[in-house]
Amino acid sequence: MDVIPGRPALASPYRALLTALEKRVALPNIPPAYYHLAAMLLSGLCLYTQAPWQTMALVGVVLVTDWLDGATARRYYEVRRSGYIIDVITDRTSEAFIFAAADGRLLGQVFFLLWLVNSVLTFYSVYSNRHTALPLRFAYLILMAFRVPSSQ
Amino acid sequence: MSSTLTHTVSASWIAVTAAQVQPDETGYILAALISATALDLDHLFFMIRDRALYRRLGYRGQLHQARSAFHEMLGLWLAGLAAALLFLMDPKLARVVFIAFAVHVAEDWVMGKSYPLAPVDNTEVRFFPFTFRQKVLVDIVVLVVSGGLWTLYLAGRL
Repeated sequence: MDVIPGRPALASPYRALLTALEKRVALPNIPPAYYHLAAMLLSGLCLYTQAPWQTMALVGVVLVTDWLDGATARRYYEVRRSGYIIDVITDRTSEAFIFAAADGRLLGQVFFLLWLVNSVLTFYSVYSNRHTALPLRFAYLILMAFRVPSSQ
Repeated sequence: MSSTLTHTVSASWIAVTAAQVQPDETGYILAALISATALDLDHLFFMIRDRALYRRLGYRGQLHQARSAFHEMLGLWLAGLAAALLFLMDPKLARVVFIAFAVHVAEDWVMGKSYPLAPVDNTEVRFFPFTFRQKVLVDIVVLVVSGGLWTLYLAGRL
């Protein structure tokens, strides 16, 4: 039987909020893999951005696709371990592109090192069946949002 | 084997352009090509070791079995670690090597069957249920587009 690693209690309020939102949103019935592919392509585009706001916009859309793939899977498809694995490897690949794109700045270098830690946590998640991951892209987006106005 | 060529050509082009390597910086271009190709060397090991099996079953649709854990998330993590160390000596080279490797891994995951979290978890995953014909078609399109982009890049028009 498929076992999906459970979310930590720490994430409960955030998950409850997203679940409530999920019920109110009209979701097209398309395979979640399209969202995964979109997340990878958009993250890859970060390698070519010229300004911080462009990266921020792309990361923002990537985070939305990350939410949409899970929401779509829960509404229309059977939630499986293979889907969970596709989701986490998409997240790690997306983070790898976003932070590799920013390695010229200290923030990007720190987040790239945190990506190495997050990748280890991915292995720990499937080993222990307890989903453990740092919300790196979200944190990166917030830090960038603070940096952009201060650098102008 | 067509996927190897396609993924090498496309991943290395993305690496050199993303790292802003100039067309005359042949060392970096070579590093991108090597990094994008090295990933598929494990296929050779399994194809030679299990040649009797492949002779019986054929290669079509079976190459996902000829992957080591280095072809998966573990390999990507090791490439990231190597890039982090390389970054201390030559940031541009680190960027080129890592991006070429990462793009190739991502292409393999999206296009076929894989075991991304091996050896910890051996669940087989597949992003899209492509038929063999569809995979070949995508490979040809990506190869032609990447070849065109390489030509423009080397001509200094990109």
